[in-house]
Amino acid sequence: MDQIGVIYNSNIDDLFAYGTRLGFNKEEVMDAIHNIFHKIMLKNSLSELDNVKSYLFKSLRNELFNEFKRSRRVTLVGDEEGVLPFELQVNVEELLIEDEFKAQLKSKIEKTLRKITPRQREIIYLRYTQEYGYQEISEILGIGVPACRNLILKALRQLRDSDVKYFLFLCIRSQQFNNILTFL
Amino acid sequence: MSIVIVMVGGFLLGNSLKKALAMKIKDFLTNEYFIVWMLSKDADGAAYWEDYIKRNPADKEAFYQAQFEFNKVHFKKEKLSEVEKQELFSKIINQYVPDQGKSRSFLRKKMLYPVAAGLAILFSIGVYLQLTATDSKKVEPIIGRVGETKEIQLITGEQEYVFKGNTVLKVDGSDIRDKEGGTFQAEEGTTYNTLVVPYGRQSELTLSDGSHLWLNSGSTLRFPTKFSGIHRTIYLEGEIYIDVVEDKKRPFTVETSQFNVDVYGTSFNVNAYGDSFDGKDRVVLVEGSVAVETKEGNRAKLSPNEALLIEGESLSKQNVDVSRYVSWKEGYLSFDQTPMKEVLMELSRYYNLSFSKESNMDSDQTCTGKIYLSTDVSNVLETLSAMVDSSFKIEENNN
Repeated sequence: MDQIGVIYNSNIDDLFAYGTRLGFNKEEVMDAIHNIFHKIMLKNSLSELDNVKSYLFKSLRNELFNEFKRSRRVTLVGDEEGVLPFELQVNVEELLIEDEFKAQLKSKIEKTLRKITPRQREIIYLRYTQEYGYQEISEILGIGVPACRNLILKALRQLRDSDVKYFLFLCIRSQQFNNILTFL
Repeated sequence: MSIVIVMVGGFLLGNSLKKALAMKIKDFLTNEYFIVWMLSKDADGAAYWEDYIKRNPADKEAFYQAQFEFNKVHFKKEKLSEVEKQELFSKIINQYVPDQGKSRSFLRKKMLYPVAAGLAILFSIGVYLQLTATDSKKVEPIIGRVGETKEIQLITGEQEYVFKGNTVLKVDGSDIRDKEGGTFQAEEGTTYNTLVVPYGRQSELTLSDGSHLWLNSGSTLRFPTKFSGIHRTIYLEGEIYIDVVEDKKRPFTVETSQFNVDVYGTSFNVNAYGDSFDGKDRVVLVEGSVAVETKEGNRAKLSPNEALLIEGESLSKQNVDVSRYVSWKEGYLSFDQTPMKEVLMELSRYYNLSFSKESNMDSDQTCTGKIYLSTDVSNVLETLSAMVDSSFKIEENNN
């Protein structure tokens, strides 16, 4: 019982945050967390696991996805099986930049994240908040490792192409910058 | 002369360099490719940027600074309160029945019902706290408020017990006992009970882990009959003095509507009335070590003889004479050049009094000394009159 308490306490915040990101409300996520812990205790299966946290993430995701299929309240986003709307909001308050730019940056990051698919957002979320490798993420999402990495590469390439012009401008300006330095 | 020119030139260069650097950092931060690469930390992106810096070495510093800043970006996270986490954990633990070959669907049905009930309880607590919180903010500080209940109440499950006078309670197994030998059956297991102490009353309570607390007038405390899991959490509105029994495996948290106090075996006083004269809540540490965390995530550690003042998001520390803040539990109030307003406010808590607006509360008069909290309020007012050279008159209020 002690072991389950330790596991519960060190994972509850991350699990709850992940569940609500998947688009479920507080009660639904609490219900799902209850059910996955219950199953773990009934099966008494924790000792066989390498990575408890990613196992919990995967279980929570499956539990919520089953709920989502059952209730059919939410319309499916995209055409892939198992895709849930994964909305992300960011907090930039800790950055040492002026408030005006904070607002600008926040909306820029959120706008950029809306340009990519929910699945790509979910992978990014797991990598950024949990520092997971593609191996762990592919297990949580139930897709292959190459598919998982390709989703990120696709997002990156798409955005790099749209930004080519912008970087041309950056290069030109840095050229001028060098000129000033030599001049002085 | 030439030196002067170089200096001016140097100054200008410094500024324009800074400006150019800042602009470039912003360019990186708002670049979509940079954003998604920073968030995904993909190796492919790393190779791209390495190449970019090779081609544009002047951007190197801006690039590293932009990376450094971007690492402070967080995704917004929804969070459960400590009490909610505790209650969810209790539900998980309490329904744990080793599998005896029942079918899965049967177990599932059996499980869902108590969860639904648990959520209903959580919901009603949320509403209750909300209401009291708004209520206490509306109260005008000068006119003391008269609580709805005049006696101490213990609410456990469906049961409600009322005590005459001050009371000393102890959680004993699945019961709560008072000093006179009365036994009150508490709600089973880890469900939270509520103790309401109205103005003019005080209560003492020993929790199931042996931690001993004094609850001041006009306070409400929620506590479980038994702590489960590896957290001990109680919920407070008002003021307590608490001696926490040390248990390194199970940290103790006092949660209020504005902040949490995390404890590891210690004595301290929490004042979270939300209507104090200075508009600040207060944590005073007598012994041990505590950390206070506001709901906004601001955190501060306290050492003995320190007081932390909490006003919204701002925290400030003071060195204090702790006896002045904890003497109420010994039956007296101690003042040291305390403004009259504050003295009268504290007295009104104990005796359920209102001071009329004409009582010259705005004078800069201060009060120094001790006032014993005798059961007869006119004695107290007499002492006060002598201390501050004023007179008081008691009028019955008929509401």
